[in-house]
Amino acid sequence: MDGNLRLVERILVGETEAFKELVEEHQRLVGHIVFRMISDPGDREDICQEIFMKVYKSLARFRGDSKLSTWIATIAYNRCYDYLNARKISLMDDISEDMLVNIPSSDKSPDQKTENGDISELLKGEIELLPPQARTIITLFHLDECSYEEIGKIMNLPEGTVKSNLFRSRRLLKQRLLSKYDKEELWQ
Amino acid sequence: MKHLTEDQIQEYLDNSITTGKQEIAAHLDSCQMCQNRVKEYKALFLQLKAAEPEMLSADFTSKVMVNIEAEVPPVESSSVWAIVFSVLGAILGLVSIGYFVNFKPLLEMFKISDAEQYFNRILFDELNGIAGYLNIDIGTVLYVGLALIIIAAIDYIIRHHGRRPVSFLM
Repeated sequence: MDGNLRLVERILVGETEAFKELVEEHQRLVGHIVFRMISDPGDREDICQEIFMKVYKSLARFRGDSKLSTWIATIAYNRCYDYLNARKISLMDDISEDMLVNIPSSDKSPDQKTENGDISELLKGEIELLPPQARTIITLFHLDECSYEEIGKIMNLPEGTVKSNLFRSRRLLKQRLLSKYDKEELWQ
Repeated sequence: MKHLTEDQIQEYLDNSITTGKQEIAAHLDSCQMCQNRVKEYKALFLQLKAAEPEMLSADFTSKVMVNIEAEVPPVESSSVWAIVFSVLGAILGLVSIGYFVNFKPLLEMFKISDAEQYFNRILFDELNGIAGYLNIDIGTVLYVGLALIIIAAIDYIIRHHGRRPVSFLM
């Protein structure tokens, strides 16, 4: 039996400490999904708590068919989806070809000096401008090292959609950064 | 070969190319322009790996655990059925053992004549009476009881030593 199934079984027989381990192991992943999908800082942490409560209550239904992290991420994504849906916030906005070709003209100044921290902050800002679905895909792929298939399972999307969304988002981010910084500065 | 498309470069870096991998690698060996474009994406990917969003508060786990401790433990829904089956199986199994095995010498040894009478009354009078009333074969019911005990035991073994964390008795 793998470690995750053993952990689930310990929780199911009433070992509270085992659930603490689960929270500690998965809070980064849940935080990534919630913080990327929900813009209101006041709601984010409460939603993360709700997600872990839901995980706790639903744990008996975990069958081990997928990784525990994928199962928890699916619960987190669905909760965020409901939140956005209730507020009529679209998460499916596509990144059109138009967005990719019409990048705002450069506002970089010749004496602008960049540091790694600046680029990182700028990139975070640019990620925030992407639709919620796109920024979640980017985060799951690059920070949580999920495969296209796992992201598809979490977000209930075909693998091809995940891939094309990821590619367009990265292309857009690259172009936006290049419109603001010199290549040499950016990729130093 | 033409210059690589944006998608081809990204697939190459994600290691998700399914066809034409060798051609792409060969093109990259000889094309400075595409090499530079690969470099741009590589740099972007490094930055993306560092673009960690804000994190949860340091006492997040404690807050969750306070709520969890106020909750009823998450009972396996399937284990409720496992318990029902086990109890039913145990009762029927014991009765069937009593029905098929002669307890008389054992009861006499411990001088439990009252118990013997009581046991006989349940087994042979009331149980047969119920079976007759329901028009069912008492032997079959008792064999089902034994089968339930075996199923519950196998289920327990699978849940505790196998790969599945939950009961198949649903």
